[in-house]
Amino acid sequence: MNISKNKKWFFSLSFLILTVGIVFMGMGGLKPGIDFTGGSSLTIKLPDYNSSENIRNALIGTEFESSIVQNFGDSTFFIRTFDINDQQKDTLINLIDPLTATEDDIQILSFDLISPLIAQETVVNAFWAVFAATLGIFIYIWWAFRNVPNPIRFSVASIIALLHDTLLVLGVFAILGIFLDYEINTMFIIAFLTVLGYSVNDSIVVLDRLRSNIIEYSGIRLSDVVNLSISQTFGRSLNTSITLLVTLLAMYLFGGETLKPFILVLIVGLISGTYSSIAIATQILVYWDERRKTVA
Amino acid sequence: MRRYWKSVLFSLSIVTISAFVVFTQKFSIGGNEFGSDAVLGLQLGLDLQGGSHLVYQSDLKDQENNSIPPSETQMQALIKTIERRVNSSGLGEPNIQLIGQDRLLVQLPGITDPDRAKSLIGETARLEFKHRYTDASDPVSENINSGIKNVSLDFYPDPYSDNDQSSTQSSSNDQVTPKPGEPAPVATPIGVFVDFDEKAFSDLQLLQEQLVTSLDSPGYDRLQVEISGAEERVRFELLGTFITETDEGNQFSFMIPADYYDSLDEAKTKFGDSMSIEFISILVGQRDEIIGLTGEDLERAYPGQHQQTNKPIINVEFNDQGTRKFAELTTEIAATSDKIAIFLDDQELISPGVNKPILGGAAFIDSPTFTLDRVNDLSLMLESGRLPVPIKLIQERDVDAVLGADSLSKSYYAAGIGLLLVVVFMVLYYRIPGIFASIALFCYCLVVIAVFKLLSVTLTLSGIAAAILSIGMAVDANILIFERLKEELRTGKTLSMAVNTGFNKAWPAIRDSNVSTLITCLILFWFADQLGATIVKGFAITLSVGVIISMISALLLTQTILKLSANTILSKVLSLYVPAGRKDLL
Repeated sequence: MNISKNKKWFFSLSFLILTVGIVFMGMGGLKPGIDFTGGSSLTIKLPDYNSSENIRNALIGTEFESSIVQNFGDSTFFIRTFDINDQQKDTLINLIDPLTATEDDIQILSFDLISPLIAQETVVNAFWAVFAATLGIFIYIWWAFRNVPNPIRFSVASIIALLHDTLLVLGVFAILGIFLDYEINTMFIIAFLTVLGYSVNDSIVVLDRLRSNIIEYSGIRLSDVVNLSISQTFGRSLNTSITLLVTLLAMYLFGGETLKPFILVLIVGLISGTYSSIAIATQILVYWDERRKTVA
Repeated sequence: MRRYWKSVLFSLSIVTISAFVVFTQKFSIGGNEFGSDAVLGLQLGLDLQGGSHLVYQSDLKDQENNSIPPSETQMQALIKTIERRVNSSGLGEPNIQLIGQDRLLVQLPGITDPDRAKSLIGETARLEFKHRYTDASDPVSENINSGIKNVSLDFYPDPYSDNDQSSTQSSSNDQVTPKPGEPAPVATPIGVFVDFDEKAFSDLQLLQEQLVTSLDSPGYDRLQVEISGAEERVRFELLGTFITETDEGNQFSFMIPADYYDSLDEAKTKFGDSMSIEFISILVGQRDEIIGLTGEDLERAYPGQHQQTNKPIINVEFNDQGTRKFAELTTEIAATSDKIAIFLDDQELISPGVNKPILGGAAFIDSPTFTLDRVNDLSLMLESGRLPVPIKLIQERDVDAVLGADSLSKSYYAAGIGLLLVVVFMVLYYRIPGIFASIALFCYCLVVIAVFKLLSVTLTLSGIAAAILSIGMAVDANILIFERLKEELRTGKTLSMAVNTGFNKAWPAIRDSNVSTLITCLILFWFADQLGATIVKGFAITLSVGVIISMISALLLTQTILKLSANTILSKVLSLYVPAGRKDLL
């Protein structure tokens, strides 16, 4: 199995996918939810069938005109609007009420309200959380690989793989944002940080093999040691990914509507994380090594 | 085998204890209660059982309207006030936490009416002083009260039907309700017999007529009666038709609502010898007007003693703004029969009259019916009408209980299917070790749930996702071990040797990958703590617990089981340990 030979292809493939994602991000595909902008959202269940179109029409000409209405399947709808108080909430429900044919009331399944103040903090905190997690992992890997030459390269390689995975997740979400109105919320941040953790987790397993092989087979070309390490860990990487994918798919299919975007992030991150630890993290080490040697 | 008996015994006892913890719904150790009524006795978060999650921020301002941080005592007092308000409302027990210096997280599990909870918590001025305009007819009840000569209790002679009794009961809107859970109604009703002087007697006759005739109109006149005695004070409403003249002359009698007392003797003991009675007429001519004097204007309210009579009183003190409003109000009322009606949460507390204008902002309220307890209670209620720190709502998350239950059942379903698929995959691919890993995985789940229960970790939707992720990590640890084991076996080692080396070689990868996950968890936890974001916190805690236990379980459980099996007949068939396919890899 000669992965290193094809590293240019892997880099190009990743570059292409990431570019598409970045283009979609540039198109405003990453839609911040109320956790980041402030505002409120309601999940309501109408007593009978209706369409989001009807609800949108009912809100035209009112203060709720700019609300986002999404169908969550059946007669459940998600409405996102500005930060409303209790009276405004009642007004909103009363506007939708005439759409229902039966006497039964509209049920409010969930209601969320985030003041702009707290939203601003969430943005800042989310940024710091991602930054701190990355830094913490960088330092830990540097320390964990202190027995091999150039341990910092291992840190850099796994952080690049990590950036690759997180950027890819963001890209996929931007695409989903354009087509399906997926939003970035607190749950997304959790999923994002989990992907971050998993990406490193996966890179470490491969790099750990590389670590012991470098010590064991000193003197052999790095690209060969990398290839050997990848073949040795390939079975494990594949099997772990498959088992995790299976659990995540079960969660995605049976875990309910609210969890879907969350699980989707994890699935994309999982696939990307497995791929990047083989095709990116280790290959960067090889690329670095070869370039140094050419320069020298 | 003898070499492993220690770890075998240890693993077995851990798993047994965990199984006991998981499958006992509730238990207590050393006075600490564990478990709940939910599935497996776990603590469910608001997103799984329904409820409200509210974050409030202090809105304290100085004179120039700049925000200033509240003191810790103020925040603690705030927590107490909110606790009292919610507890007394019957909305269930709130869970209130201080976040940072100036924020409060209020969690109300299982609540169905979040708007009511918010109005209960959030309003800084639920205490309201209103100007009660009374028309000339009001002194009637005062005349009646001053003409009372004697009060006594006896069996009520007039046999009313059951229907009538219950209507007396339901129409009563006394504030001092008898203790709930009082035993069932008695067969013989207890009557109150009141002797009047002639003037009062005829006044009451007139009032009774008035009450009866106004019964049909929507805003009918009402008559309340308050009876006080040694240990008891009750107030209930009398419908006109329920007061009857007796044959004694100048005597009226009425019934005490049937479920108040078990027996006449009980009532007599409670009221004692010094029984007094007060009639309070609430006539249609009377109206309450909001004058903008609220709990915010009240500086403090505390019980005290009247300097001359030594009777219990309530002292009230207003702040500058309140003093002004109070002076205006009392000046207006002083010469009239008007009253100050004080409402807490739209419930009338007391409605004292005013003797003379009070300009200094400090006053006391007294009443012949005041007791020490009553004065204490009222002072507390007046105080609680005012929040020590003004607050504003900055975050709200309400989840309907139905949605919560739905999410919970879906998550269990998904987790079950996921787990089953993992087991199928591992057994098919790794054969005997796969079976061992499945056993280890099952034990792992038991231990994780047991630890959740012992640490009272609240399970949230994101927590379930984290738990499933940690199962993935636990599987990963096992897979790492098995892959190494497989390699060692192919180099021709014996099974027990291969188990040992395989373990030692797999360990650094397991350790490093899990530590990096723990670093992420730690940072998530910090992130969550800043915001009171319980979803994030739940995720971080669940994942850390899961990851730590997965490391221990890989070390202990899988290793022990594999080593044990190395000494059995299974070890003779090494092919059972080597997975199918992928032989080309080495």
